[in-house]
This record gives sequence, structure tokens and C-alpha cells, in this order.
Amino acid sequence: MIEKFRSLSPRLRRGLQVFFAVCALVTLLDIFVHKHHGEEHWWGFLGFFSAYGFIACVVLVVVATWMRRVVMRDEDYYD
Amino acid sequence: MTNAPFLIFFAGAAIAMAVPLRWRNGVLLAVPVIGLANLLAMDPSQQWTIEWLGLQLVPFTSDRLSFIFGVLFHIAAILATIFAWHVQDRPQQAAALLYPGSALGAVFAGDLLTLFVFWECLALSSVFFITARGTPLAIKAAIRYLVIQVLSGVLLLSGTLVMLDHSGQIAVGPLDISQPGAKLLLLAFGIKAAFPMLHNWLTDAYPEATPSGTVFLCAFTTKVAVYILARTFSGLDLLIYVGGIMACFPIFYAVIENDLRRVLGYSMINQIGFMVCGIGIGTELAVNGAVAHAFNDVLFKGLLLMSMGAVLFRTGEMRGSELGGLARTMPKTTGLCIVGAASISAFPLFSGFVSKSMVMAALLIEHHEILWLAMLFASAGVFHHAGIKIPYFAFFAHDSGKRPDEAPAHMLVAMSLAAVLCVFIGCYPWLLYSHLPFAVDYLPFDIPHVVEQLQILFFSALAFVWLQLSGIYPPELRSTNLDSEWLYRKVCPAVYAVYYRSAQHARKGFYHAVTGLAGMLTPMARQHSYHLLMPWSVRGIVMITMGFLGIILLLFYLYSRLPGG
Repeated sequence: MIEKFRSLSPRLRRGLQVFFAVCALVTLLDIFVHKHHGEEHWWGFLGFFSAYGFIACVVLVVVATWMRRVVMRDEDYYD
Repeated sequence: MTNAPFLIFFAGAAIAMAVPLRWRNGVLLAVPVIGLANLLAMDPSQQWTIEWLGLQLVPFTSDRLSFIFGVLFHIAAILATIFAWHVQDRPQQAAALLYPGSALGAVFAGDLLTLFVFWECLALSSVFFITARGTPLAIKAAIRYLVIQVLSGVLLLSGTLVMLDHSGQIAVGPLDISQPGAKLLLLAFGIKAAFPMLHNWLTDAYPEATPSGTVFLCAFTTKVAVYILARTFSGLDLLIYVGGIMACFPIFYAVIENDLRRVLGYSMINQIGFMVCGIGIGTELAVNGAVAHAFNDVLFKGLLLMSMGAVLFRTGEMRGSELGGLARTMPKTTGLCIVGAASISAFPLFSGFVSKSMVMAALLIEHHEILWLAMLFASAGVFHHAGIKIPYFAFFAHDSGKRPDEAPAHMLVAMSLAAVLCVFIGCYPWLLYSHLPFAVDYLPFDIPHVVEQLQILFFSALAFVWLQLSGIYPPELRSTNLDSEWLYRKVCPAVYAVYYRSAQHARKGFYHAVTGLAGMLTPMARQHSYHLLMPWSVRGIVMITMGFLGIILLLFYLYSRLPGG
């Protein structure tokens, strides 16, 4: 993965580095943002939404890839 | 003097068909513009009633809920007509007014019979957008589409007749699911709203339509269904869970689907899931959210389908595996597609954010926390498949070597108008909010909420980057993915084929047995003057038939005398 990242064009690599920094920044915003006017929720801990968004997408893609084994057929399957 | 919107559209269709081709597009665009002016000037509490066969029919009535859908359908008709400016065939041009006209008729219908008439008009007029493609695949898909849409109409009529028989009341209004006939109506609405397992007509037919046809199709049928669900079954708990399933399951298909318009079809079911869920919750905030989301969905889904329509128009290709790198020669379409992608993903300051968040907030207020997590998952998934996948595989990703021209000017105009509306509503939602069915007491831009949404979105994108770099992300492959349509496109024909073969077999066997037996018996019968196998007299047949009918009548009479019969 690291090699693949290194093989990208310098412009794209720079762009992705900025993007990673922004990801870290929005997660850290949790420290300063007072959540929901004092209401306490079990999901109120630092980085919950970041973690959830990341895990949700990985689960989505992994399950969908696995689904291909069951549901994928030739392009002209119904013809 | 104001008029019922559907009359303007139907009269406009007649005029458009009568005028020469070079003026026709002008008429097609003038009608929804005049219609919108008429609607905005309309007395909001109008009602027409007529007596027909002893029934009190209300062909036109208006309130806040139908008004907002009326405005939406006019805007959608204007945008789609501009996008379809290049179209020159009569069926599609007639449908460009008849189809929105039918949708307007349906949302302003005051009774179920009127609704049924427009419900069928929707099915009949929209099918021309699919048949106009002209390919054998499109024609077959159009027939399947029509059969399912008409089935929905038959269910609607059956439910209406049951209600008429039971209570004599067929006004369009809140229904109780335990009421006789209400389940039939829910099923009829559910087919058009693409409920799970009833959804496959949408992903089957919409991607087969013409480039501009899909833009029309995406705006009306399903949104009429959302309107009527909000009108009749608001607060029905079942809908919360149906909506949850609708929001979650199509995103898996969207990830592995190759046809990019079919990806958007699955994404459409996912968005309708949010609306159905809001309707199911039934609180003022939730229903407002559902209606606002329907409004926004027509704009951003229309924008995305327009950008894909432009790609299809220019390249003749819609499969992700064959596209890529088009941003080089279609930069404007790319930019406009990204605005649509940001809107559907609910980025703050884009339209999806201000409406989807209302449904999400309503879920939390009503303590549906598990479902809230499921919807959060669906939100992340939307960004993944509609927000990133669509622009990425069409305009970036690997270079397909295609160098198509930029989309034609009229398409760019239609897409730009839709994009401006998406950004306007996203930045200034209060105009939309002020026309929702209930008064809005909701602040979309509170800081924790904006931060949460940004975290979800950025980390979904991060997951995409990681999956791409690590090679886990599934490549676009030429393929068909089995869905519930497999039941009626493969299993039913296979079962019928087995039945047909065995029935033929049985018939042959029976024929041989009878002829063999007759061959054996005839000499005996001749010998013994046995008349049974001889040709029967007409009188004999009539007597036997009468006898059978008499027995059936008697049985029926006895049955009707049974307690509870």
C-alpha cells in the first residue's frame, strides 16, 4: 500500500496528505465542540463519528465484494 | 382565474402535438412555466367536486402538502424539458407533458378513483421514455415495467372498491391499516415507492430509458408514491422499518453495480428509504424532513442523472468498466456532477444536508437509536457509492481513452440550473422550509451536527482512499447482479416451463390412454349397443350441464346460509 502511495503523482500525493490532515483535524474538533447542549449520549466520545464512517464504508465494501460471489452473473445472463 | 395544473399540461400536450416540430420545444417549455405561474397564483384552498354515478368525486383539491409537490413537479418538468431539448420524436415529446401532468393530477386528487386514473396515466405515459430507446433490451424492460405499474394500479383500484363497498368513503386522507382495503392500497403505493422486494422495476427499467427519459422518470413516479404515503399512512410504524431496509440494502448493490445509471437507481431507493422512514415516524419534524428530502432528491438525483445522461449521449456508454478519464474533455459536466454528488451525500451547505438531517434528528427524538445507527451507515454508504463512485468511475479512475465533446449547451443549462438550486437550498433552506406541510422549528446548521456530518463524510472518503490503495476495492466488472427480479425473470419462467412440459406430457398420455381405451371398447360398445362412447345428443349435454349448474347453485345457497358465510 505504501509503495502504491509512493507511485502516485507528486500532486496527487500532496493532495492526499492535505486530505489526511483535514481528516485528523475534523476529528480533533470534537474536543472543542460542546455536544448537544449538555445532553450525554453513549456515542458522545471523541472520534465516534469518524470511526463509524470509516468502519461503515469498509464493512460495506467488504460485504458487497463478498456478495459478488453469490449474485454476480454474466452481463447477458437474462438474454 | 386559475386552473387545475393537470388540465394545463394535458391541453399543452395536445397543442404541442399539433404545432410544427420547430415550435414544439417552445410549447413544451412554455407549458410548465405557465403552469408554475398558475400554481403560485392559485387560491390555496380550492376544491372541485362533481357527482358521478352517485359518487362524490374531487378531481382537484389543494393544501400545503400537495402545493409543495406541485411546485416541485413544475420545476422538475422545466429542468427535464431543457435537458431534452435535442429530442425530436413525438412519443417522448408528448410524454414530456402527459407524464408530469399525470403526476400533478395525482397529487391534487381528492379521491381515490381520481387518483387511480392519474396513477394509470403515470404508468402509460412514462413507458414511452423507455421504449424510445429502441433497443430490444429496452423494449423488454418497458413491458416488464408496464406490467408491474399496471399491477400497482389494479391493486389501487381493488383497495378503492373494497373501501367503497365497506364504508362508502374514498376521500384521499389518513388511513388506518386495519381498515378493509387499506392493505391493498399500501401494497399499490409500495410498488410505486419501490418497497423492498417490490423495487426491482426501478433498477430494471430506468437505466434502459433514453438519456433524457431517465431524467423525467426519476422525478415523478416514486415521488407521487412518497406524497401519497405521507398523505395516507403518516405515522404507520411499519414504514419506519421498511424505510430503514430501503435505505440500507440497495447500497450493497450500488457498490458492485457496473451500469452507472443503475447505481443511481439503487441510490434512489436508498434516498426514498429516508423519506419512507420519516413518514413512518409521523411527527411534524419527520414528515417535514421526508417532504423536504423528496424535494431535494428530485433536484440532486436529477442533476446526477443528467450528468450521466450527458455522458451516455456523448459516448453511448454507461458501464463503469468502460468509462473513465472523461474529465479531460467534459470538465463542466464533471463539475456539475460533483455538485450533485456533494448534495446527495449531504455535505453541509448542499441541499441533502438540510433535509436528511431532519429525518435523522426525528429518529433520535423518538428513541429509534438502532435505526438511527443503520441510517447513519446508509448515509456513509450514499457518499461512498453516489458521491464518490459515480464521478470517480465516469470522469476520473483509469483513462478509457474516450475523448467525447463537452455536453451540449442545453444540457449544461439544465444541469447548471439544478446545481444552483441544490446550492441555494443548501445555503438558504428557509424558503423551502417555509412551504413544508408543518411549521419548521429546526436549525440545520448547529455546530456539533455539522462537525459530526463532516467526520462521517471525510472518513468515508478516507475509507475509499484506503480501499483503493490497498487494492481491496472491487473493480468495475461487466456483470449482472441477481436481485428480486430473478424470481420473475428466471424462476417463474422455469417453473412455468416445467409445468408446461409436464402438462403436455400428461395430455399426450391421457390422449393415448383414452384412444387406446376407446379402441378397445368401441367394438364391445357396438356389440352391446353401449351408448356412452357414442356421440352425445345436444339434449343430453344440456341436461347434464343444467344438472351441474343446479348442484353448484344449491351448494352456494347452502354455503351462504352457514353462520358467517
